Amino acid sequence: MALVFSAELMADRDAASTATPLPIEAELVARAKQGDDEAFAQLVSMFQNRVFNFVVARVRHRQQAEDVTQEVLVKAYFSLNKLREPSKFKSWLFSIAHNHLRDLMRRRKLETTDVEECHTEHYVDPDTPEKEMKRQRTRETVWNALVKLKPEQCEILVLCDIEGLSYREIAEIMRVPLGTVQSRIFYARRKLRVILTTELSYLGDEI
Amino acid sequence: MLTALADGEIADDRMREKLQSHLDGCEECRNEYALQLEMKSKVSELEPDAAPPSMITRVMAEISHRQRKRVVWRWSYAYAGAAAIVTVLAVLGGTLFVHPSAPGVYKSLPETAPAPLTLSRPSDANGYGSFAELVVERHEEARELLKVRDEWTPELEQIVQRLSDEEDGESLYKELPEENAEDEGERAAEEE
Repeated sequence: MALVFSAELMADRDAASTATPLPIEAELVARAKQGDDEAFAQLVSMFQNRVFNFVVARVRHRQQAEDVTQEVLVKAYFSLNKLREPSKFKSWLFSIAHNHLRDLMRRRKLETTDVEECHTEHYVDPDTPEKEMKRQRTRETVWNALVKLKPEQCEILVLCDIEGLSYREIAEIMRVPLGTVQSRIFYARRKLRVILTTELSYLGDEI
Repeated sequence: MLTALADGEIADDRMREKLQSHLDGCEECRNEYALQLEMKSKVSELEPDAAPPSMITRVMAEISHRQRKRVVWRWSYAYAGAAAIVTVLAVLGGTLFVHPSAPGVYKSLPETAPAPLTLSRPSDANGYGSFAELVVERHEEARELLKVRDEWTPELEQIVQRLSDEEDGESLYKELPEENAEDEGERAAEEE
């Protein structure tokens, strides 16, 4: 079945995601660009968890993920004048994080430790401990499987499935064509399925 | 295309319907589509980690630290630039007014300036009146030194020639061991 994958076919989701930025976000960016540090601090509080989550999926080491997140946010502050469209602050921030992580990878400055160190213990309902424990175990396994993917596959799934960014936004962040975004997601999910099948069957669980 | 369908990225209704009808009749694509949806759901369910509460403080502290550092660096660059300009001007000034390596620079000056060598000849109480005056002063000192060298050079050459004269086949250094030999001979005779 031959289908042409074009940008026009995907316009709606992209338009929906970019046309509804938080109005306060653009306003804060405009104020921060004029030197209002308080506005930038508010932006940090709005986006620090998103950046941290994106970074921790790649870095696998909590302390280092904190340092990298800090560096990304500081870089954003000093590069704020380069941001042309304040409404695209979020994807711009992710592109800084993506480039910074790539640089660290090139310089081999990323530590690789077990992801279990990174994730905090979640609340377990005492009434249904077994069910909850199983769910939690599955979540941990999915995290572990996610970080076993190639760096670009891991990043793309976090951006698409956790952050809910459109293909066009992801293409801008990673500086790749739309077709590459689609194929990377396709193969990343396939690989994820293989890893999960192996790990969950080892634990005696089902996917 | 199945990935885009699972992610809701296909805006064109006709294309979406076309894909759906294809999925109804193709098991392989149906399975692939199910896999894409399932993995999307698994990742979407992950609970995001939270950055530490101190992150804002850390970020803002680092920003102000770097801003201070930038100011210091800017001043350092300004000082370094000023120092470089002063050095370049001094070197250029020296090169334009006096070029000691140029051949015959001293000889080219007129001989009608037989002023005696003086250590300083300030035109006013504070020192030299101008840079040109300083150059003339240094030139005269150099001329005096050259004159002394010209006077002493032949005499020195004669002394050296005399000391190392080898016409009679003997040198100061060769005489020493012979004297020692004679002394030893006399000492041996006395002992006997």
